[in-house]
Amino acid sequence: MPAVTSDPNSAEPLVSSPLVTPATRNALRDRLGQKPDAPSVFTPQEFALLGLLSVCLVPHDPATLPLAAQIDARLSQGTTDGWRYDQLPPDAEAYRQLLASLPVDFQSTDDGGRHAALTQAQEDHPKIFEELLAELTEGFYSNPLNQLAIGYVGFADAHGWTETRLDQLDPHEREALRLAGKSL
Amino acid sequence: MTLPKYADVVVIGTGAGGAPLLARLAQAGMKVVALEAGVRHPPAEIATDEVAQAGIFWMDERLSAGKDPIAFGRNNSGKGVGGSTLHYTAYTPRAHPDDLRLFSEFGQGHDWPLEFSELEKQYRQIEPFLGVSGPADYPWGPYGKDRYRHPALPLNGAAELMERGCQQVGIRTSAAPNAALSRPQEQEGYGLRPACTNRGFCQAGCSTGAKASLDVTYLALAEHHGAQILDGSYVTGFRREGDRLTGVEFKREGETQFLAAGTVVLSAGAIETPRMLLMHGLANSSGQVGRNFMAHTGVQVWGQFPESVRPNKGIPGSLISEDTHRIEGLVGGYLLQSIGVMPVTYATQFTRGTGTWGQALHDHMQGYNHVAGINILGECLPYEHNYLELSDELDAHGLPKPRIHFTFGENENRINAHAEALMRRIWEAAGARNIWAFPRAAHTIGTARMGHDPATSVVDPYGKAHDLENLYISDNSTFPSALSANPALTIMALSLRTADRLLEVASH
Repeated sequence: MPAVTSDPNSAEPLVSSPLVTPATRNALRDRLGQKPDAPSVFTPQEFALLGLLSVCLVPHDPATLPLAAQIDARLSQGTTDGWRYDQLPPDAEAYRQLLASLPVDFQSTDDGGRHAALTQAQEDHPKIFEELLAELTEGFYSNPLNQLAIGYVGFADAHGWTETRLDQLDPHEREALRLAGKSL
Repeated sequence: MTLPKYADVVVIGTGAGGAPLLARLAQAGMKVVALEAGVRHPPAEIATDEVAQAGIFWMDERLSAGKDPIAFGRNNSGKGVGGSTLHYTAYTPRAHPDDLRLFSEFGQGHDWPLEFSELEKQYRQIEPFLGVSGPADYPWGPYGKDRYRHPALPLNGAAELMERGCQQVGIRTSAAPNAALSRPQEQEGYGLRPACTNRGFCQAGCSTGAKASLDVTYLALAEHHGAQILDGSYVTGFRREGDRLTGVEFKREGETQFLAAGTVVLSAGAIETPRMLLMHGLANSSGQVGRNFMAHTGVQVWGQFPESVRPNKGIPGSLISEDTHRIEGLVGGYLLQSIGVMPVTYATQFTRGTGTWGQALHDHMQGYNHVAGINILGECLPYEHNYLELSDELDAHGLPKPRIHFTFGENENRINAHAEALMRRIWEAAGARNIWAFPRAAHTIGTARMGHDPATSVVDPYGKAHDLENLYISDNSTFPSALSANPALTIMALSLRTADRLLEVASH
């Protein structure tokens, strides 16, 4: 099962601690509290397919981390990541092309069938596939719960680190891991 | 706020090209105003969160064409008071004298129309002012008696591993010169900048002021001496009479404003500077605006180690080697640098670079704390096929999006291949598993080349546009060659040199 923690409050002891600066705490709480609006860019059919595709590409629980809804919200706001491959149309259209290229039974087939379909889609539409994969990956790993799940506590930034050497934990890092309930 | 109506010099952009010049002219008593599209990002407002820091990057969409399309946004762009120095790693190696003589040495590329000593003179002022930390004896280049003001910053895990691997492969290394403070420093116009806390987030903004981004250094100095910085000011036009510009139009808080100017300095970087020149039909009688686009060869090699690295700790740019400054059979060469990395950057690069998806992506990311990287910055020659143009697609301002064509030439492909092979050997010697390479190009360079001949260059050796009496360009656009070094220090050197020139012209 995906690395996402089911309890969104599990980061709270660390996030609310003096180990985190106010600027960082606000950013993390905004992220954890995100509730995207109902999709407005994709049709319900497209959105259902995008949701499934998203879970296949970057396994996650959409109930606690709605990555597809975040993409729809970004597209409706018109924000971008600052660049796009010249050969691709604007993001929404590119993503629609990728969805349209999936086999008609993509939603009903088994894991093996979906894996084969996605391997084919990656080969046929490498740039769009890469763009969607990167956007989902950013959405997933910018979530502090998923950062904690890989042992990252870099957002415990109030003191910086005095210990930067190999195989050494900084005292504040040790404390952050403890507050996050992570074994050392 | 009452906006100024006139300035002796208007500077567009507040990064490494605009800020030093702004400070020097203000110190000399000139009335100077800077227009910055982005806003202020004081250290206390910097979040240790990659996505929340999007505001320090230029996020208006650019179109990336060619066989090696350049990534922008969180790569190769900057926005805000301080420009790209808000996110630079603050690596500050000097250029080498032979970097300026590529054509003389190899018969390819271009020589710079100035002497190394002219840059060196400025380097000697910039380094202590920024508070560069570095080794007692830097092993490469003609440093002579010059010493860094502060001792080197501590090595982090990636640096230790690179040092270990390089020793076994026979490559010399050194702690890097880095414009983050290893000791507190009093900064005129700003106050006390503290020593670096090794938070490791330099590439998304420094939250303490230890890193010498230009907001806490040259811009603070400039404002202390009376310069005005108008943030949130997006330039939309220029007024002109004959061969002189008379002022700049810009949008601020939804209103169109006009600022009359004695002299205009464009310091918007090698994408926005040529884009403005092309949009407004300026300084292009040579047809060279937007041409000669270059980006450093910048392949990264990543590996996972048995040791815990925790690659988010310590300055990302910790260790350097310039043993590969010249490679037999190649035009130019490259430098090697250890790299730290934040989780979102690492994860997205891993998916883009390897195409990994599904559970395999999460499995790989479980090893994040054991990841370390090395990259290069290498020479890039200018080619006919690499250029910036205006597309037909409009952005949110209603202005044409730039399209940037970029395809590595044979020399760049050979540099990348040589470097990738060497870095793989270094990482294997250091004990890495799961080694993978991420091809990339770094820094935008060369779209308004400087030279003596108005037929083949856009600006003269001091940055003055050949076509206009009072338009100067001060940023990485004017570089005739890419240099195998991080560009910020040299951009600042050229900026001060242009400032000296403007003061000389004004005194006549």
